[in-house]
Amino acid sequence: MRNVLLLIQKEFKQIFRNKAMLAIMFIMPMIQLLILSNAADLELKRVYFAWEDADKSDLSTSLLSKFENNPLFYLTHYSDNQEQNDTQLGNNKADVIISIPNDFERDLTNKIPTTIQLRINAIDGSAGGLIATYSNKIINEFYSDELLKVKATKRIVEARYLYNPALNYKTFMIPGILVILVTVIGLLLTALNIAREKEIGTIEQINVTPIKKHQFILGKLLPMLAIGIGEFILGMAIARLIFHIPVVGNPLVQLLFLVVYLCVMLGIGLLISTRVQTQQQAMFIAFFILMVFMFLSGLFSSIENMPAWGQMIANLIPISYFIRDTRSILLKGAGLKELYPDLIILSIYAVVVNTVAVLAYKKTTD
Amino acid sequence: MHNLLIFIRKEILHILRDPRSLSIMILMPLAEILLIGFVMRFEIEHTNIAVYDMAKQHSSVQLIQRLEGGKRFSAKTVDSMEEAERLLKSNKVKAILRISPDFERKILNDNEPTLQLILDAIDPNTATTIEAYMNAVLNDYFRDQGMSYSPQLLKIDQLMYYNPMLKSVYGTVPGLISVILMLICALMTSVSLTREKEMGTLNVLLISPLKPIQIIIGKVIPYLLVSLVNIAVILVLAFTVFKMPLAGSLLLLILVSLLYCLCALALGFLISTKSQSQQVAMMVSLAGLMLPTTLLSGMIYPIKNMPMWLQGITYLMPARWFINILKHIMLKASPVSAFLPDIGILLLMTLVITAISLHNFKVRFK
Repeated sequence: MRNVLLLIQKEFKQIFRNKAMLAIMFIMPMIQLLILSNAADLELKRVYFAWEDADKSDLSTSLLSKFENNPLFYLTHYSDNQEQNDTQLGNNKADVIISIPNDFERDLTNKIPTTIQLRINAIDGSAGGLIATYSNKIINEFYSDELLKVKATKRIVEARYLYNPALNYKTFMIPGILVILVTVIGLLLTALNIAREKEIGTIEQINVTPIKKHQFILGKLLPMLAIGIGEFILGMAIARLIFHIPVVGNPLVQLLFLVVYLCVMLGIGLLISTRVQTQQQAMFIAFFILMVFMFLSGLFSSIENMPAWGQMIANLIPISYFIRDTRSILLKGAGLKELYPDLIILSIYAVVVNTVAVLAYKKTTD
Repeated sequence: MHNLLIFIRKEILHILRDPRSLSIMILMPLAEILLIGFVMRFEIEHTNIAVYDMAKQHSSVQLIQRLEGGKRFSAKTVDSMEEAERLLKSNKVKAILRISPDFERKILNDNEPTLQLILDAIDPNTATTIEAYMNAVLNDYFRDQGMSYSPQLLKIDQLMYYNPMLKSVYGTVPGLISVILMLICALMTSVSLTREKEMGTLNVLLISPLKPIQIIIGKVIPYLLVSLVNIAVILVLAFTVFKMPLAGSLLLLILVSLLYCLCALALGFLISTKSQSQQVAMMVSLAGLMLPTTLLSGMIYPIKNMPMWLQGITYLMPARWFINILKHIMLKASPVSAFLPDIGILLLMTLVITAISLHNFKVRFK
């Protein structure tokens, strides 16, 4: 026990004597949280449209005003030149070109079918689909209002948004971004840690002491755990005070999940560190793991949309559990009653990973 | 010149004699783009919902069958609101559809039916998309029940430009290429000087007749060759596995990618000149670049949704410009003039970063 305490003391001294590392561990992630939280917004807020009107009748003009009056749509270009309009689409100046055919008004008043063309920039597939849906909705409303003279059917379904009634994207993203930041710092620090001792040669000094293998790993794990917890709490304070993220659930349950999760991630870091020869190798492996974890965590694209095998991988990685659980605890007020299976799985991970790390650490040299 | 060639040869040997690191550098991007490229999907294809049918009448049962008949929803019937809410809370379902007891009577009276859709809105984008899909399904249902208006005279013809099948990969693959190349290149050179500082070999370099600019070139060129291999691997995957189209010139695509890699390598070198240890350099380049490049490049989150000050920051991200160029060359078949400014900006960034590195690079001993 005393050995472990001494090791912890040594690690803390090393950390706090390096001012550059302290800034990187605490200030850099918090700045990222403050800035990047404003970046993540998938909502379709503005649709820029170009208007291509071969008819120029009263009816087509009234359709144009329907679009202009819609808070989502902004007219950026008005031209009959099809090629010029397509260039607008290519340069991202317009997201959709709405093209009204010849004799639009005459045909409709004489009950002859006619067709409006929408040309949509669909590189972002889901945005393209939504632009189509919204444009269709406006045109259909126009059709029933102006031509059928019936009130468009009221909304059939009454929708209620639970947990995030304002549909605030920040509420959704900030807990996830914070988890990623804590994960990146924690995993990288531990992955580099033992590799660094190997490179400078100080590992030899520890290898000849009576410190046991598990004590050594524990001595590395606990200080990083403290830093990770500190960082998460700092981030939560920012999320709460500056971004007004609700905390519905029990903070202690959140803390429990955090500790178990950090044990898993730091254990993975230590495992990398015991297996590599140089810090550079450690960094590249950590980079690989972090990229996969970040993109498969369900933070950016939800796990339900992934192909079946992707969902399987996503359900294997600890970060997807933790992001999901953090959101559930903070925003939905879920507790151990709902989430205990995830806690059990994370705990098993923690035990397995750290045991493997202890076994992988060799005190003997090759 | 002769000195420089010898120095480059030495650096290349350095890389070649550490095959473990080299193979990581080449295989890792390959694995990443395969895994993440396939898994990141933004189309919501399938949603689990809970249906609480209080009516339990012919028409409501029909409605549920209709919901399940489509591919979008799989309905789980529940017998109480509590049960439904528990499912929602534990992430088993994304929405609850509540059919009120007077459903059938209202349908027969041609009244507005009373349906309530309660959505898990933590992810606003998913919630609103599910709502839109649900509305579409219900609209169809009520139209077939003869509750809707006369046949449409006004048809809408949608042309999805650049991405007719609305595939996610068209948006994600260019983004993924940018993020992976940026990080791997910056990581490779970020330790180039710091490692020499730590091992003490930097002093040998400083007393050699090599000029600082020659040292930068000599450190960057070998890694540029590695990035060329990376580019080749990534592009082959993009065209074969992900079936990305190539609307423009392949040569131009490779040249621009090389320029982008050069920019990232220079950035890594810049980090190296400012860091005192490998650990600091790696933390800055990995923890400092990963999330900002992902979030501020427009890869996932549209830049036009961001607040103005943040849009200003995105101008500083090389990835933002590179993604734009990739989309022009791969998807849009635009003339070179459309993205010439973007290339110019990348070039300018590379020059500025190199100039700052030169300024930082001190030939004097500390």
